[in-house]
Amino acid sequence: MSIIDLDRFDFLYANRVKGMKSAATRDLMATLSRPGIISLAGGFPDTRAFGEEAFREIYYNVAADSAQALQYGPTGGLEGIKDVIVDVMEAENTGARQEDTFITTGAQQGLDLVGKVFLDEGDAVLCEGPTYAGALNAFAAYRPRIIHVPMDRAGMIPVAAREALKSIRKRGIHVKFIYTVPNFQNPTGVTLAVERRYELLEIAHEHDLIILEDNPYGMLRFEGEALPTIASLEQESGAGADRVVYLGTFSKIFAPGVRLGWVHAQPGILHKINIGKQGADICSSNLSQMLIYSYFRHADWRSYVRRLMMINKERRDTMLDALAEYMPNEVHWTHPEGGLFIWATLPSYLDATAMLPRAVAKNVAYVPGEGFYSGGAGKNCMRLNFSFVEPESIRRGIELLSEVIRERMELRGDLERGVRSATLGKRPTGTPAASIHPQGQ
Amino acid sequence: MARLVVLMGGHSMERDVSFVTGRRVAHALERLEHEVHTLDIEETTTQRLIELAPEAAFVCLHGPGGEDGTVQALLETLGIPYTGSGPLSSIRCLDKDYAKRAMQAAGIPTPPMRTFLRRAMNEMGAAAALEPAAEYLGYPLAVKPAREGSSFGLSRVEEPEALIEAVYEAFGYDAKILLERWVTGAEISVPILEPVGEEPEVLGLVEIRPREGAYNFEAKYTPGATDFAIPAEIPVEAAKRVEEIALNTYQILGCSGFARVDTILESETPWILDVKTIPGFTETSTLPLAAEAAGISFERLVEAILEAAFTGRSPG
Ligand SMILES: Cc1ncc(COP(=O)(O)O)c(C=O)c1O
Repeated sequence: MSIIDLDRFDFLYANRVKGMKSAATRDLMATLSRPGIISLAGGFPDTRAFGEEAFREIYYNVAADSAQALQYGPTGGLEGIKDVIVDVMEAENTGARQEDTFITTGAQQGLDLVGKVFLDEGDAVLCEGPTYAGALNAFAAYRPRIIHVPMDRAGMIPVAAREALKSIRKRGIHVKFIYTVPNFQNPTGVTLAVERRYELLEIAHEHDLIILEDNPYGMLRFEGEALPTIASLEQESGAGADRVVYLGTFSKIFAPGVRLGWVHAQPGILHKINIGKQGADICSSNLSQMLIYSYFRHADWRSYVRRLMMINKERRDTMLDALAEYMPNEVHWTHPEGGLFIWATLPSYLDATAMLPRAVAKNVAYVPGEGFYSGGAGKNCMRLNFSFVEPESIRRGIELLSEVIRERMELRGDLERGVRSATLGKRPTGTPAASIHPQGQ
Repeated sequence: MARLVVLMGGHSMERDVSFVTGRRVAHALERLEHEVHTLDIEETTTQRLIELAPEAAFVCLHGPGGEDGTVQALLETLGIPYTGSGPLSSIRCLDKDYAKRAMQAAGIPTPPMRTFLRRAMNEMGAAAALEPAAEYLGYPLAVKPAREGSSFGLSRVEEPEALIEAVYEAFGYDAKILLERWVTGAEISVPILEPVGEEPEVLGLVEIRPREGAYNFEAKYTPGATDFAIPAEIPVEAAKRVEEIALNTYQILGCSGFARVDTILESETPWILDVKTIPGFTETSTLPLAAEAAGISFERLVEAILEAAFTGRSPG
């Protein structure tokens, strides 16, 4: 007799959700609500910087138009906010046409809709390795093959992208688009070099592919020269918006709570995306769109972004200093000039997922690298967020994390030494001891 | 009506489960018309306990820091009656190394094991003893942290090549780990209740049948991921033996109020794996399910456990 079967419709669920298992790390993440924990695991901008007064004011402005704020709106978004988007893209030196702009519920919905429009089961998507975990999640519903292209300090490596394309094509697999987060990528903080942006366009042209340019962080640069977006390079070449589908968002320059982003693309693609969105949520919230309109029209949003950048720069500096001061020599990390994240790589035998409980027990948390790859790589890597935690806590957090890493390295050393001495005592020399190195990345 | 504190949350890996347990218990206590205050484990917890001066504390913490005697010793010091087992019994059960040694001494069948401490690895090159230990136990074997609830850090090791990885992982959760012979058979969980003035009794045998593979953390707390059979579908004779040995274990380890004894029935032998002095009270937990199957409502169960808090417990 089975008296408990709360989930009794298991047999009716679609295959695509059956495959979606919450990773073991999700369970660990659940412990992050613990008091006293220093979480370098978040991906949030610090919305505390916005302030109650400023918020009241934009709400007050919207109240004058309450009837519209409370109403459904057009699927592609209100006209006013599209003008704002043209301005915002202009601030990144990217020409945009108001009519090529389409509002989405966060860039996240943009990812889902592009997946919906382009991907059949088994199609391939080329993306950075590692890549934004949320994109992998969004695409997963359409069951594509994810092909990770290796990166270096200058982003996705074009030669590797070409090779990957050649070999998948040979296997008769249909590649639909290249997904890239060109600026201060989530999770690595790495920025795609300008020559490589041209080269990606070329590759896409040769293979007649779409480029999905996901750019939530481009404006969050606090150091160095801004680079042209891939969308702007395409336009420069005279083609107008063609194969580049550009995703933008208000989440990082204003606030993720409004859940608004946009797609800028050529009309044919937008038409399909429009159909997809009608089925998904009819339209994004008018209220949110009007809040944004009111704020971007009446307040100095650029200076708010500058203020955020000052906060972020200080915190990044603190984190880099702390990493240099505390981490063992064997650990390496990226040096982002903007964005929210640093990516740290540990010795290949360390498993950042297995290490998380120790870290949490010591009151510090991070995101293990595994989740940013489809299929196993990145185990010895971690994503560290510097935007959400006060500088003193960042220092302390990195110090604690370094202790955990040292402890794990030491344990590894102890285990290896012990096993080696036991093996040496028993086997004829030359026989390799049991392999104790896990696969690196 | 009494003024009560429900302690929940805590710092262990089972923090979230503890919240579910705690909220459910708090709710039941409120329905029983008690004045209920819920407290997490924080710097101010002791101060709050002194201020509130509750008539009793219902401890809904799982794992190290809450189920290992830490909280129990403090409550004892503050003179606040509390539910469940005392400090000594708590640490004896939470630490599988202690529990199994006590069981072995009393002749209770528990799978053979070998203990390793982080310190010995570091100071004495104890890793050299891993292979002999594994050879003694045989493959497959289980590697697990000694003091971790749920299934965190547990690996089944099939071959020598995989041993180090498992050891490495288990040390991520605790500085003491066990290698244990892997036993196979029906997984039977034995919830025990000891109402005031009565002998401890088995609420019913719960057979756990995971849908896929091992009964891991996810399966344990996701409704529908595991199937239970209450009562366990095993021969009457075997059931009797399991009950007897589980009750014996409860006594040997000095438990009070309630507990859950986890066993594996391998042909004739009911192997005792471990004892949880504060098992989960979630909707998918075996203790409340077994109580319900025995005709004891959740409220009645909570009430019985609370009543037992007010009587002196056996030393331990
Ligand atoms: C690379 C990337 N794309 C998209 C998103 C989703 O952003 P939104 O809040 O606009 O949905 C994020 C959020 O962190 C991101 O990092």
